[in-house]
Amino acid sequence: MGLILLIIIWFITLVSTYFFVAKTWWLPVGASAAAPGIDHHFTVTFILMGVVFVVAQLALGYLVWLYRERGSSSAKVAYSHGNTTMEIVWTVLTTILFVGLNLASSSIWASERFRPAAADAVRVEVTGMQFAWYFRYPGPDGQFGGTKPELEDASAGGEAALGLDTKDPASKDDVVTGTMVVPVNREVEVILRAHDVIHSFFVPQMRFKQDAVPGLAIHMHFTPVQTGEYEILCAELCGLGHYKMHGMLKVVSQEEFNKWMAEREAEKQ
Amino acid sequence: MATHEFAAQESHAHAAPQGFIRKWVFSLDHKVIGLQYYFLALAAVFVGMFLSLLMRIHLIWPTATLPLLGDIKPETYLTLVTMHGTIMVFFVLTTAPQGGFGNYFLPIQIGAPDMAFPVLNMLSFWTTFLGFVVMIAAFFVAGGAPLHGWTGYAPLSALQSAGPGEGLGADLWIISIAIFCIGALMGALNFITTTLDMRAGRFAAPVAAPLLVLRPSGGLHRDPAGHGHVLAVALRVLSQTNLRLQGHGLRDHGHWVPRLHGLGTSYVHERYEPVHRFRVLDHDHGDRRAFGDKNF
Repeated sequence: MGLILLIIIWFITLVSTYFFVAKTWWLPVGASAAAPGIDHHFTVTFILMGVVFVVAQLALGYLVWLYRERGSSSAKVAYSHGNTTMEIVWTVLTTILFVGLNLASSSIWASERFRPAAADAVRVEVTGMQFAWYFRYPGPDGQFGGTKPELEDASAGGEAALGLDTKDPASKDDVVTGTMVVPVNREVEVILRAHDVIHSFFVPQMRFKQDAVPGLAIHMHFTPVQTGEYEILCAELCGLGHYKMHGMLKVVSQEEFNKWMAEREAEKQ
Repeated sequence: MATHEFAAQESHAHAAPQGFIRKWVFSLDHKVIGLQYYFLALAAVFVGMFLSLLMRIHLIWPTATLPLLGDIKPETYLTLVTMHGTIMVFFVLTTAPQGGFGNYFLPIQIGAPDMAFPVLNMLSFWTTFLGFVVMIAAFFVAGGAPLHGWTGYAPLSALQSAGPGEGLGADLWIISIAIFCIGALMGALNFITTTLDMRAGRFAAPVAAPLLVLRPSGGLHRDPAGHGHVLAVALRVLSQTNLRLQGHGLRDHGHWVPRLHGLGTSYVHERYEPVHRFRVLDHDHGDRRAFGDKNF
């Protein structure tokens, strides 16, 4: 029985480790400036914890076999009162690993949240509502127009869904779209809002995920470095249509972005 | 178990079980209660597993109509997600390690004959069981089980219009969680009291005990052998301020015992004689001597 357990434990350990070592699946392409740092941290964590996992499981299998039932010749079990030195050692090591990994990642975390966005960042207000994403650009004046809850009409879509106050002069040039278009290699400041319930704005290729909470305007920023189309998902269970709540992030060149924006402004007139 | 011969029969920690009901159903024995928790968790894990199988079946054959259950519509799927998560988090991952292993092993590890309040212990299990029954009942009410996820984030969980299960189903869900929390609270009080008051004399802290209960040994409990504990320094400040139970016997040898009348007797009063033969996994009347010659 001891031998069978040893084989099972080792087999499961080695097979599950194989899938990671052989990279039979891995992360999607990282298309933002922060992606290499996040991926590096992810990999370091994975390797460190992977080593701990493998060593612990191999030791477990070995000890299960070593102390197997040996019939009448079994030695009596000795009762251990514990080993203070060992307990201190593994507690301290675990603490160092845990706190250390947190500290190592904190600068990446802070760089997208606590540091204000660059002055020339593209500002996009992202609003989640059941079950769609809307993106609002402030237009040439750089000012977002006012919105009013009583003007909101989700079924109308677009500006009306956000409750844009058309009487506000600042709202005249606001552009509301269903697709998020941003220029490459320029910081994007995202202002996250939610209309009804909690949503979560998730773009795997940007390594970017943040809850959108009703009543809050959450500022974050990221810098796309690769043109392309990336899917935006809702990563927080938000109701019956959660599964189909998604949008598109198009990262284009600055010229294409300017052209696209000019077309949207022209449509408004 | 093969080690009964070690147990001195005259020093039973508690009265021998009387009859099937008292022994296996409304038991006061920490090991039986631990097993009850464990089997409750085992039953819950099968329910949770069944729900996750339905989710997998839906992902593989999205248009399939299942016998008895019919189509898996979006609301059905979210119900499966919600109830699977809830059952696994509360009635498996909390119940098995805390209620099951905690009840079974904590008294053994600290050399206590049983939990401090056996009747409270029994009540905490049956309260948890009731919570599970109420949770399962949510499947069978109008509208079915809730669909707001096991996290139950408002506003989604607060909106009855969010889906068919968000009426009575969601009500039963939150009532079940409340009942579960009452059971968990009773269990936690028992663990804390047992660990603080009933640990045998000198020993280096067993691994699991501080995981179950944070023991500020610097202030709450005198360390008879003068051995420091890992947590002692860090927690000294805490224990000298708000954690210290002023004027009560909790922090001394246990001559004074906090008693909740009607909830069972704390066994701290019992004395035991030093013996030198013991074995882990022995019945509790043997275990309580595991740590040598300290008299309470």
